[in-house]
Amino acid sequence: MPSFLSKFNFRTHPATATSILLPLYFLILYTLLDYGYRALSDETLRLYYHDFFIAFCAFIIDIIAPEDTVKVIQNSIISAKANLAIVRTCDGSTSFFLLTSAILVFRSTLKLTLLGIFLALILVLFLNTIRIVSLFFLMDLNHSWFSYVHITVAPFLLLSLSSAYFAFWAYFANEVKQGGA
Amino acid sequence: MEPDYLAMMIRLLLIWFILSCLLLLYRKYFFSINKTRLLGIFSRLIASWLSLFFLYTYLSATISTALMPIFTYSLNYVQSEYSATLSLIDASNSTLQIGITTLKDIPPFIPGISYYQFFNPTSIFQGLSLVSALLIAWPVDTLKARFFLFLTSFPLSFILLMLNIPFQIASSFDSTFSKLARINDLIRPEQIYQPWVLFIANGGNYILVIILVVFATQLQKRLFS
Repeated sequence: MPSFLSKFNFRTHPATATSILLPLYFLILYTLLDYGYRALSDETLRLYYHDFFIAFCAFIIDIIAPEDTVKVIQNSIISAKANLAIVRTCDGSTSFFLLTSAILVFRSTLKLTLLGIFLALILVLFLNTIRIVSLFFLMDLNHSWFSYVHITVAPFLLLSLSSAYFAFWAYFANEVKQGGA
Repeated sequence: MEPDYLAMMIRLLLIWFILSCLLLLYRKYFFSINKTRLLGIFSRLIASWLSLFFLYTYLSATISTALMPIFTYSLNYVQSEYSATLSLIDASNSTLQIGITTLKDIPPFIPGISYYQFFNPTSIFQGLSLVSALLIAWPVDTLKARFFLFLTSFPLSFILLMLNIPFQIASSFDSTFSKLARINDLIRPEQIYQPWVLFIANGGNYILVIILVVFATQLQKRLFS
């Protein structure tokens, strides 16, 4: 038992310290970002983000199916066939905060960290646009699959592609740290 | 609605513990993975998860029919208040009809009363795809080891299924009995399986998946290294 406990001596076992502290910092950062986001009022969020994002999704839908004549009313994309409301949890913020926290905790150079966060934002916006547009069409085409994609498939794809992005970013950041790139 | 801070703290502590354990176990492994392997892991994960998700969705009725006797036995095993019989009523959406005959007093029901309810296990089957996908995606050195992990995913998925199905069906009946008891100004005591159902419904299923995957990968490491 004492030999097992000695592995948790952070001075002699820095790897153990990293394994315990990294997830802690990650969770603290994520919780702070999420808390800050929740503190924003719906009006502020709509004014600075949701209105633009929803209008962009409607624009893409209009390109794909101009005959649907979609309209944006408040936070909803509406056509004769579907009415898709976009709320806080639909805007990709969770994936972005997870990625940002992971990138910040990984500790790379300032340039790589900022680039990592910027590309994470682009990736999440891109994937989330695909998600919203797909859900809009699925709402009319197949209600069962709308539910499956909304609840399971889209969150899984968003999370696994975000994890893949982070893994590659961390790999590259590690190469830079070791002077390999 | 005021957020439940205690539940949130417990959840965060649990996530911290799991992430720390995973890093302690696999840290060296993760940091030694190269670009090609990373690409392999994520492409296998996404491709296999999507394929299995579609497969489980479309084969939900077939799986339910094949496992019906086991579901019936396990449902009768986890609770002793009623005797249950399961049947598939609609193969197109794989809905199960669960008929019960009460064996004990379940206020307002007296023993001997027959009643039935519907249950759709599709979402539980879909949840199984994560175990298999993670095991298929896991980086290994030999084809034999990959085949071993693939084969292991079947019994592990079955274990996960058995830790879900009977408890969730029992819980859906319990919820009905509780409502009926409340309507009749009666109190139904909390059932022994309720904390388990609460656990799996609040992210516990992911913990089970992690435990099963860690078990399989550690077994593979010992057998094939």
